[in-house]
This record gives sequence, structure tokens and C-alpha cells, in this order.
Amino acid sequence: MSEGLEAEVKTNPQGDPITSAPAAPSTTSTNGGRKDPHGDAKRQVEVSPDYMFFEAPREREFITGSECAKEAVRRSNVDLSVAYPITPQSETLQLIGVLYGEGYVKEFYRGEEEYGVMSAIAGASRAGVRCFTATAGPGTLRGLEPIVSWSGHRLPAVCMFTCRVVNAPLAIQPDNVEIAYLLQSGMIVFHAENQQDLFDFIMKAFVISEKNDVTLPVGVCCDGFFVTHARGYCSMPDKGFKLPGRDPYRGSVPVLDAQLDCLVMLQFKNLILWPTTFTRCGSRKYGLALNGQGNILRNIWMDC
Amino acid sequence: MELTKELEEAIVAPGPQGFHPPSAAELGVLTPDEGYGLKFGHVVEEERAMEAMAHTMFTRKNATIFPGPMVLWAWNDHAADKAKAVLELAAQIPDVLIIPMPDYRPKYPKVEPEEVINPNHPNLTIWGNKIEVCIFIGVHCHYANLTLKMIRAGTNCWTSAICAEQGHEDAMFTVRDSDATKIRRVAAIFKRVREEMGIKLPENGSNVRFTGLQSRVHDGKTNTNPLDFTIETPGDGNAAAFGHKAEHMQKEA
Repeated sequence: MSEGLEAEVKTNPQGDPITSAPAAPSTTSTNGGRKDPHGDAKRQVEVSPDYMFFEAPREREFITGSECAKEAVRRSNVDLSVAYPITPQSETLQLIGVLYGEGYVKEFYRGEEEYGVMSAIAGASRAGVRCFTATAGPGTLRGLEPIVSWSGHRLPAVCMFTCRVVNAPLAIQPDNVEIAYLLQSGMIVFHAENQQDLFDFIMKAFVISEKNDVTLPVGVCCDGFFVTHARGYCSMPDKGFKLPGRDPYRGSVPVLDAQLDCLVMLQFKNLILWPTTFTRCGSRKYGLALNGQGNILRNIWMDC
Repeated sequence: MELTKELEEAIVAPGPQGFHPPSAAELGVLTPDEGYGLKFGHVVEEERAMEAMAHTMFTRKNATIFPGPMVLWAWNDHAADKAKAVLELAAQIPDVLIIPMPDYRPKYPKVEPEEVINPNHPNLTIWGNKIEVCIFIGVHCHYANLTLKMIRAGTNCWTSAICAEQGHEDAMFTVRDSDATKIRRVAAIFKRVREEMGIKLPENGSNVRFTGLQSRVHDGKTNTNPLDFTIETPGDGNAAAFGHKAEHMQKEA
């Protein structure tokens, strides 16, 4: 990423402003007179979901569905987004890439193909971070196996589906066939009928999917082109606000490797079974259960 | 406190209920609202649920506390404080066993029932130690649900769940939103019920009974005092070192 060299105003290939949302107040730093490209993102303030959805003043904009998705992700404190282009979704993830450049999304890359993207989302969500991706039509079916694994693993990931014809005849027009598959995948499925729905549903999807008593992926579907590429009115809270980050401790399943990170202390070790020996391997300690003669009963953590 | 009448009207009744009984949710039992608990599937004030937990832990055989990862690991200061509270609760129960559920990986080729309980086959630890009453605490919700259903299906063990979230409808008794303060409140109620029942603790405070394996590890000691052990606070390499704070473990406002 080109640190500090971002242009003042980004444009998409059509030459339009990336979003018609009003620019934030000037946030120039003293860094040689250059604007900190992450400055606005750093100044975002976390607010409660209740405030974000029901109390924060909103301004109405006339923007495309893809831009609505971008603005939703901007306010959703997303940690990771993985992209793979497919019409009509490509523009959405392209705009998320712009958010990455601006520091609103912490990590972003293009996957190998949809199977790899959805697998990466599975791993990242399991690791405890907030994830967002999007796909469409054939991409949905190509990534379906790992998508189905999300719900089985109780992963709170959010995926946007800009629905289109899958194939035969090959076309890129809107179609809802892929939703039939998603409805059988164990995930929660929303269908956004317009740009406003898309903005609201994406943000609420993060909150709902991460609720302890939900802990499931959410798919936010919409018609490709009719919603993604058409402009509509969308009321949005100020982009200086963002949702609280994901709290990985609150899921109904533990996040991956959390125990390894916390392995230094086993609080009951003296009381129960691990009384005597802790060995250090690299930066981590491993507990060994010893019997009275000092023989290892079980090497408890080496297989972590 | 006599539970006979409640048992007759129980929706979530103690097992063994046979292979694959309907879940509590299928029986119409929902998790309780804030301030309430569940007793045999019925919503009650949470203090009544705590009293029922205490009564059964004092009267049925081989009472056991199963601490899960959220109180076994020093994720942060709050987790360490909760672990202390669990030990204080254990200190109120005569001859109690403590068998940890340190993680959720299936244990193959064999579970050592005197060492751990595992959510994928909890019945083996229940059977192996002839446990007729237990409390789960600090287990992630998904795995607690799994475990509680299996225990109700295949064993005669009465289950209680002290839950940090919404409670567990598949336990015979449950309370929700259990931070360290509420666990200490449970301990206080256990103390009151124990004194009302005239049950005394050993004078040396060694009321926690080791399993056979635990005893061998501890040079043949049979009992120990849970309050003798200091809980180490989070240090280098744990979640606190990565900026996670106690509030992350607490109930959202």
C-alpha cells in the first residue's frame, strides 16, 4: 500500500467519486504536510449498535448498492475482507479495497478463487476476527462447500450475495437460484430489496451473527445490477461512527488457538493435575502431568 | 427443601432419558430472562434455582464441579477472578470433586475419566466416577449444550449450569449472567443452605476430594483445601498482553 501517497479524491474507473457521501472534515497531519490516509479511520468512534441503528442522526445520499455496501463496511469495524471478482459483485469488493487503503478495513487481499476465499473467511472467523466478503451466482456455488462449513463451525461471518444467473444459459442478469442453496446451508439469509436494505442489513448482520445465542454466518442477498449498480436513496449515520469490534470471547464456541495464546497459566494446575512441571517450548509453556515417581502420565499440550 | 413435587412436574427431568431424547427447546423450554433461572425447565427466580443447585449438590452422590476453559485459563483478569470465585464455591461443598474440561478436542483413543471430562463423551466421566450431581461452569455455550443433552440422555446425573450468558435450558437448574459477583452469590447461598441442612465442612478446610488419578499425582493425598491455592494473574503471553481487558469477558450492558 502506498503510505501517505493517496490522492485527495479517489475515483472509480468511470471517473465518478467513489461515494457521494460528504467528505469528512479536513484531517491533515503535520507529517510533511501530507494527509494521513488512515486519519479518518483512526478517528472513528465506536458507538453501541442501538445508537448506530436507532439514535444516530442520518443523512440521505443517492448512491449505488455497491456504495451502500462500502459505506456499511466502513461503519462496521471489519477486520478482514477477502476478494475475488465476479460480475456483478466485483465493484463491491473493489470499493472495500479502497476502504482498506483508507484504513477502515484492517486486512484485505484477493483470494485464489471462491473456494479459497470462503475457506480463508472460515479460518479468519474461527481465529476471532470480523470478516466480510461477497460473491455472486457461479461464485456462490463454487464456494458453497466452505460456505456450508461456516454454519457447521458456528462461524459469525458475513457474506454479501449479489445474486445473478448461475449458468445455462450463461448470463449475468439477476436471478435468485443461489438463494435456494443458501437457505439449505444453515446460515441466516437476508434479502435486501433496495439500497437502504443493503446498507442496514450488512451492518445488522455483523451484530446478529456475533450474538452469543446466534453465532452463525449471515448472508445478505440482493439482486445483482438492480440493486448493486442502480442508485437509490440511502440514509446513513455519520461515517465517524463505527460498531464495536468483534469480541471473540463471547461466542458460543472458542476461537482458534486462543488457548495457546493463554497457555502460560492453568489456574487450577496446582489443585487438580498439573502440579509440578511446566516446560517452555519456544514462547509457550507446556504442562506435563507427572505421577508420584516423576514419570510423565500424559503430555497434555504437545498435540495442541 | 423437598424437590419431589417439582420432579413430578418437571419438563427437563433427570435422566437417563434414553437414546436421543427431545431437547429442552423441543419441549418448549426457553432460556430465562435476566434475573431468573430455570428449575426442571420452569422459570423461577434465580435464587430458587441456586437453592435447588445447592440442595442437590449436598444430597446426591459424588457431587462434582466441572470447570470449563473460561475459568481454567487466565484469559484476562476477569477470568482469574471468576476462577477464584469457583474455588470459593467449591469450598462450600463437602467432599466435592473437581474434574476439568480444559478443551473440547475429542480424547482418543481413551478418555481418562479421573482426569478430564470431554463434551463429546461426557457420559464416560460421569459413569467412571459414579457422579450423580454436577455443576458446569465456564464452558462455552455450544459445548455445554452438547454435553448437557448427552448427560440427560444416558446418565442419572442431575446437572446445573452456571452460565455467563443466557443460561442452559437442558440443565436441570441454571442461572444466567454469571460473572464473578454472581458466582460468589451462588457460594453464599450454598453456605446458607448447607447451614440450614446442618451439614458441616471438615475443620481443616480440605473439602475437595481428589479422584484416584489426582491423588496419585499429589503423592497420595486424598483431599485438599481449595482456598489454599493462589490464582496466578495474567502475565506475559496471555490475552491481557494483547490488549484484551476484563470487560471483554463481561456481559454486555
